[in-house]
Amino acid sequence: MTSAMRSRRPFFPDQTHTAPIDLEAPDQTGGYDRLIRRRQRVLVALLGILLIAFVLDVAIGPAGLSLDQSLKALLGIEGASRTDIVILWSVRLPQALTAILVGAALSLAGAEMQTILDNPLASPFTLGVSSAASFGAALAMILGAGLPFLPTTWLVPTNAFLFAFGSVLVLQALTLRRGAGSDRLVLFGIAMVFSFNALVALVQFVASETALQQFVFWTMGSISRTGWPEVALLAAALALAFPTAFAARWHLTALRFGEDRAQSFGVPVARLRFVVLIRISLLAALSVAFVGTIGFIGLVGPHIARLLVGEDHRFFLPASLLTGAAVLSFASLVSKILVAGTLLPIGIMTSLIGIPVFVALILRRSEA
Amino acid sequence: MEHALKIDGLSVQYPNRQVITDLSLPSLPAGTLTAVIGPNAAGKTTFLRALAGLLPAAGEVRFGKWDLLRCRPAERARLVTYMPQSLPQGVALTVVEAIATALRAAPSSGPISAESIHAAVNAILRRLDIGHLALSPLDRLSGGQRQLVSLAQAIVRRPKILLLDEPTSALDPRHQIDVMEAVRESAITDRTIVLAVLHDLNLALRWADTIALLADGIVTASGPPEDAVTAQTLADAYKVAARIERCSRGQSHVLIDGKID
Repeated sequence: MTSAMRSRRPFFPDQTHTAPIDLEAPDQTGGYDRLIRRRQRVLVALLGILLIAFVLDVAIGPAGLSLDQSLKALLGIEGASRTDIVILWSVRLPQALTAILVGAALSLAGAEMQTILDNPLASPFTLGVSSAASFGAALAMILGAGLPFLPTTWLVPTNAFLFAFGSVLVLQALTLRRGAGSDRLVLFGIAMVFSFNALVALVQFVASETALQQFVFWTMGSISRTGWPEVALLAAALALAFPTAFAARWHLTALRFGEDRAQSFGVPVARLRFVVLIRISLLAALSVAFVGTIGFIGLVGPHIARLLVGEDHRFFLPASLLTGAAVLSFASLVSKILVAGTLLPIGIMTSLIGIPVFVALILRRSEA
Repeated sequence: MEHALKIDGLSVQYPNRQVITDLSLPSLPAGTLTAVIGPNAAGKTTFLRALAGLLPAAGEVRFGKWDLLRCRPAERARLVTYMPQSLPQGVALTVVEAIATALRAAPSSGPISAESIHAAVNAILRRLDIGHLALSPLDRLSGGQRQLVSLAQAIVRRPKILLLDEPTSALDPRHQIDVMEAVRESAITDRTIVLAVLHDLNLALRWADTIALLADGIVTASGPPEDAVTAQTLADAYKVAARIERCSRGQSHVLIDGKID
């Protein structure tokens, strides 16, 4: 059919590589290599932005240390005061790392969620993960209910985690009954959101004023309650989740073409979806348990990543992770410096920072 | 080793209704194109999806030593590729990525090198004349262009059995020919058994080696085009008055005169 007589549109002339099948035909995928290199550069740039955000986040805080003092305290160089070292190592560093890890976890979870549900509006919280976590936290804070023999500081996170994880298992059980598609999963998720929200309201109704206040603050999201154990757990969860997600990158990319097609390509769609949901629930449940509900990041991180590198999951997954981490890291920074001496809830800051970036990228893309 | 496809007593049941009943076809040899035609809701898509293992089905579908209804999904994916009616609209992947993913998702014979993927993608872009779209994201393409990409994804896997659901529905006449030529070429060079749902009866008459006419989940006629498509079989299946006439070049054409009540 490709008769030599037919006029052909010009291809990128700088490509000299030709397919071995037909040595005379011009290369048709010209420019794709350049696209790949551009995406690699985007990933490196995101990593750079993240590092800058992290350094600023560590260096700046209400204690008013100079950059020089911070650096000395961080590296334990002589001349650093004992208080400076404590501030850096027990407060700023774990918090800055928490911001990065939670941002990365929620954004990665959101990216996978959007892919398996084929829904750009999906985030770990669409399916009621956060509502379930809130209910667990409310039970602990307001009614004091939770697992016995736990130290009180771990009661709220443990409860939040168990309910978040449990909600995903229930969701799985509901959808496994009859090979349900993504649309049904979303509907079950929405049912879950409303059920847990009603339960939370019920518990709030009987709450004392102090408990209620404490709970409301928890739902705003805060990274100021985390220390090294939480950082270690979050890092471990990410160290488990990201490599397994990345290993499934081609299956996830294929899923973008629809379930039937992916399955016909040999992707075990049901099993893939199950494993992804387990990963998402682990990441989201841990994040919510430690920092409260910072919902927006799971939606906006993947979106920004998609606008920057497209949906080839080789790039999309790491870009989502880096974007989420960078946005939350900047949010953490701004929450410290916006009102001097006051640490604003990071959940609020995330939305205030993320939304303008998000809108700007969408506008730029629609102009292109 | 070359095998024929033998479909025997295929039945598909949805929870509250029988969609395909005891469907059997004469053995379909390698390198042939079978057009599946029939009125709306006759069960054509269900038929292809059942062959692709996407639906539970009873009966037997033999291909060499394999029973396609019962073999392992991974094994079936090596033999069969199914192309649904449309590609989803909001996908930000480029055409090159879309085709390469079809190969990379589950390579049919072990890992594939980047060079051979590059070569295969290149060849298919050329064959379908869509090289100028190589770097366009799918969400910027027209329906017809997406359909060509969708076909490219299926053909590039070089399956033994290729199931196409309305591969030409969104295409202009020239691209319809492109598609049918590409399908025929892949049938001949790769010795693929192609089953394609076609709505355009004249396209089916012109390109198919065999035609299977489906109505209400039952094969009402099958065989060489001119045997399967007659005024009588069309009247029974579609409830239309039709003529089959030979044009000045000897090609048969279907002319629809009106409805039959």
